[in-house]
Amino acid sequence: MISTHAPRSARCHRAADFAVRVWADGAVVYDEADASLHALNPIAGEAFSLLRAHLALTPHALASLLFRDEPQEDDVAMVEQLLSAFEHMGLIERLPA
Amino acid sequence: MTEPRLLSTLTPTELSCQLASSGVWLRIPPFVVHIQSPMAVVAAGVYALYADYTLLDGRDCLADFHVAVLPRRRWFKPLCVFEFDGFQPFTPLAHGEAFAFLEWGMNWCVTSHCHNLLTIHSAVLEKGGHALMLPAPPGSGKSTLCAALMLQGWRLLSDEMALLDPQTGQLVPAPRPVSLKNQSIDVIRQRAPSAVMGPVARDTMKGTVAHLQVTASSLARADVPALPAWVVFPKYQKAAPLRLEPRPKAGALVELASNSFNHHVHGRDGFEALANLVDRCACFDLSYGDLDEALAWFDALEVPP
Repeated sequence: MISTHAPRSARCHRAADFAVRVWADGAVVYDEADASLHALNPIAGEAFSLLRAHLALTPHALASLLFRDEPQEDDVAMVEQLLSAFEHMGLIERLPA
Repeated sequence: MTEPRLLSTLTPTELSCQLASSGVWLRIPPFVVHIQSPMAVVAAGVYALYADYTLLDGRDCLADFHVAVLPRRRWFKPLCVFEFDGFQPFTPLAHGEAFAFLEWGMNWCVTSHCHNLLTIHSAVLEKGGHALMLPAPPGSGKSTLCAALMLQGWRLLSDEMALLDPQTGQLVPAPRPVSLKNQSIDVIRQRAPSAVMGPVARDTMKGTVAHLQVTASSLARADVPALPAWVVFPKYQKAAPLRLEPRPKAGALVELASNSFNHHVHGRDGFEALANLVDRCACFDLSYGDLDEALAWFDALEVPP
């Protein structure tokens, strides 16, 4: 089902707090604020690296960068889930639509 | 330059008297430890397992840790306490556990106070200049593997804790007796009947515990650090065939961090040091049921590119 809500951008507002190590089989984010570690799968690792490299991204824009093509609806839905998880982990914030 | 004086130059009686009075200052690389105890079981353990360590003159050196194991008499059961700088960080244990208490107490001293290095709960051995880390929870067969590898010619850096220098990425040796538990004691005794073991402590929280002397070759190179090449998470499973799976680097890093006592103290540098370690190492999960099969696998390990 297509959401009728305007997409909310996401940004990595504490980019300077994070150190990230990316491997082909996954990534680990270190959060200097509380010395916590977050293990990410390869897709999530790449998504988080993209968010750190950009000021803000909509789910659609992030999906385009991740999949290097016009994203399908389920790609965007997957990215939306990923962003919710990142927000829950305190890695990003969502901006008002 | 004068030869270092070894603890073995003392007779057992001299050692007992010295431990019971002013104590002994031992160089237990990379630390200097001042040990006091009037307990015979502690003297017996120190004499058996630290004979080849350098004895220092307390007037000429500063100890990193001042420790003591002291008897505490109770109505029903004799107990002992571990003291660190006169402070007792643990509840008393049974009298028969006194030597094991000294060993566990010294581990605590390092993990609680040595913050210039990253400390990780892991055995560390070295061969051909390349270090192997075996981080694993109790019951995984880590110490049995560690003891058997050491007796097979690998150099022991530590049975209990990897000391990672965050500046150089090297593992600093801290060779101390290998703690064996329960069936492992007999397994190692059968493989190496002449190997020296310390006092056996029964009915401890970990079951029966005995410590195995460090090989002379490991002690002789206790000042030589080594770069890590392999991280292997071992798991002993009775009668199981040898099974090996590459461990994803991200998972290995998180697991190492969870086994680290102080990576948070080092902040971002600690994370980078652990990540660099994982980066340079081949990482595996190893389950085994046959010790000889596992040893052969370790001996055939190839250095990662």
